[in-house]
Amino acid sequence: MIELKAPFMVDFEVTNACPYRCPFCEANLGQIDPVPELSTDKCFSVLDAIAEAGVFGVFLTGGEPFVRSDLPTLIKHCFEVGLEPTVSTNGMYLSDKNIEAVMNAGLTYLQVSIHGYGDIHDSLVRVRGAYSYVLHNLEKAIQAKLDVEVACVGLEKNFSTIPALLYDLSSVGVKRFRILRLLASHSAHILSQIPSRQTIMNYMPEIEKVARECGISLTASFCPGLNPGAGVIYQDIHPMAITCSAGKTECAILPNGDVYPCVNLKDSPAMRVGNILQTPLKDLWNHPIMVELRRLTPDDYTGICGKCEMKYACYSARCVAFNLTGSIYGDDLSCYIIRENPRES
Amino acid sequence: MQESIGKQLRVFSVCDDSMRHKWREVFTESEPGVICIHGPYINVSMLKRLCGYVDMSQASEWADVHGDYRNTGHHDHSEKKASNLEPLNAELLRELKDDHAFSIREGVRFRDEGNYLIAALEFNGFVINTTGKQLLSSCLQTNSIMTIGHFKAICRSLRISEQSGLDFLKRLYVFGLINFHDRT
Repeated sequence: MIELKAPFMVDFEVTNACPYRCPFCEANLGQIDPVPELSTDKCFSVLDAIAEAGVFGVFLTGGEPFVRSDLPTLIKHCFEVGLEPTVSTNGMYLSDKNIEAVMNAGLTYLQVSIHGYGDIHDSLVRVRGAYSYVLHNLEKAIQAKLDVEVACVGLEKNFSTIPALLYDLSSVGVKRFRILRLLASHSAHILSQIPSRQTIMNYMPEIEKVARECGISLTASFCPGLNPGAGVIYQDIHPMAITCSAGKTECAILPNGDVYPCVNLKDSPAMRVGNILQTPLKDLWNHPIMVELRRLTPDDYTGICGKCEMKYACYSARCVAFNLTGSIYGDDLSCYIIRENPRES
Repeated sequence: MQESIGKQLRVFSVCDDSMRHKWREVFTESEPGVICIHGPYINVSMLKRLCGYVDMSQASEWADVHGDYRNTGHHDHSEKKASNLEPLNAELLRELKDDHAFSIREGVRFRDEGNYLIAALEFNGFVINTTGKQLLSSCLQTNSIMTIGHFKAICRSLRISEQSGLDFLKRLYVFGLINFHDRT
C-alpha cells in the first residue's frame, strides 16, 4: 500500500473573509467560528514549514484570498521556497492592479468561481451585480494572459443555466470550465441542492454541445453513482488519485495555522491534528487521524457504501460520511445510489 | 434511467477485482513502474491507445471526451490546474530508435520516499517504484539527455528487460515526465 511520508500538496486557507454568502459554503451555515488570520510573517513561516516537509504545491484559498493585500507577497514566497502555488478566487477583486501584482509574483493560473448565469449567480452568492462585475474582471485577467479556469458548483438551481453561462464565458475568452460536485459535507440540509440525476441527464448533453461550440474545454466531476471517471478504468492511475485525498496526498491548513486532514472536516475539533506553527508538518502528517485516513480503503467502509460494488472505484466523500453519519467509514449520503434508495439507507 | 445505471454497474463489474487489488498492491517490483497518485491531468485517450486498454469511453464520457488533458474525476473543490503538456506524439513512440534521445521534462520535481520516488509535474503526482527509481537514478547520473540505445544498455546492466524499460519510458512520456528529442 502506498503511504506518502509527507503530503503531495496542501490547501492553505489564508483567510475566512469573503464578500459572498454562498449557501453551500460552510462559512455561511453558522457552524464554525472564523479563526484569526495569520500575519504575513506567520504565513511565511507556514509556507516555509510546508516546503520543508517536501510538499510540492500549495492551493491558496479562503474565504477569498484576494481580500488579503499581501496575497502577491505570499505567492512570491511560495515560489521562493519551491512551492507551486495556485489561487482560487471569486473574481471580485481582480482589478488591473491586483492582476499585475499576482502576475509579477509569478502566478500564471487562476481558478475563478462563477455559480451560474446572471441573476442565478448573484442570488446564490447574495451579491447583486456580482456576475457582470466578475465577467468584466475575467476579461481583464485573460487579456493580461492569465490562464483562467472557471469553476461552477453544480446545483439543482443553476444546472440549466450553465449553457448560457458558457456563451458568456466564451465571449470574454475563457477556454476552460469545470463543473464541481457539490460536497454536501456540512449539513444534511444541503443534500437537497445536489442536482438530481434527471437534471444532469437532461442538461449535460446541451452543456457538452455548447462547450464544444464555444471551444471551451469542459470537465465535470460527478459522483460515480452517475458517471465513473476515467481514473476508474486505467491501471496506470491509482484509485488514490480519484478518491478522497484527505491524509493520503493532501491536508488542509486554516487561517490560524491549524491543520486538518481536509477543509471539509474543519467543523469538527476532533479532526484537528495540531498547528503547523507549533509542530512540524511531517509529525502532523503522522498523527493517528491522518494515518487512519491514509490507510482507509473501500474494504473498511460500512453501511451501503460497504456493500456497494462500485466502492473500489468511488470518489468517496469521506468528509460527508463523517460529518453526516459521525464515521469516516459510514455512508456518503451525497451519493446518488444512496439517495435514490432511501429505504435501504 | 435504470438502463444507464445497469450499464455503469457492468462497467464496474469488469474492473471491480482489479480495482480492489489496486488499493493494496502497487507494482510488480521486478519491472520498473510508475503510477499516477494525484491529479490526474493526463491525456487519457493517449494512455488508452498506448497502453492497449479496452475502450470504455462510454463509461467516462464526461471525463475524457472533450479534450486531451483533464482531471478525470476527483470529487473535491477543484484546486488543480491543468498541465501545460504539449500534444503527445504517438508516431514517435511507435518508431523509437536507438539514436532517439530523452530527458526529464523541465519543471518535473522528485521526492525520495525511501522505497520509491515521488515525481511531480505541477499538480500531477506519480509514484515510481524501486526498480523504476533505480533505473531513473542510473540514467540521471549519466547524462541529462540520454539515447534510447544508452538506456537499453543501462536496463541490461540492471537486469531489467529492454521491453519493460521501454514500456516504463512510454508511461513517463504519457504522464509528461520526460521529453523525447529528435534523433541525435
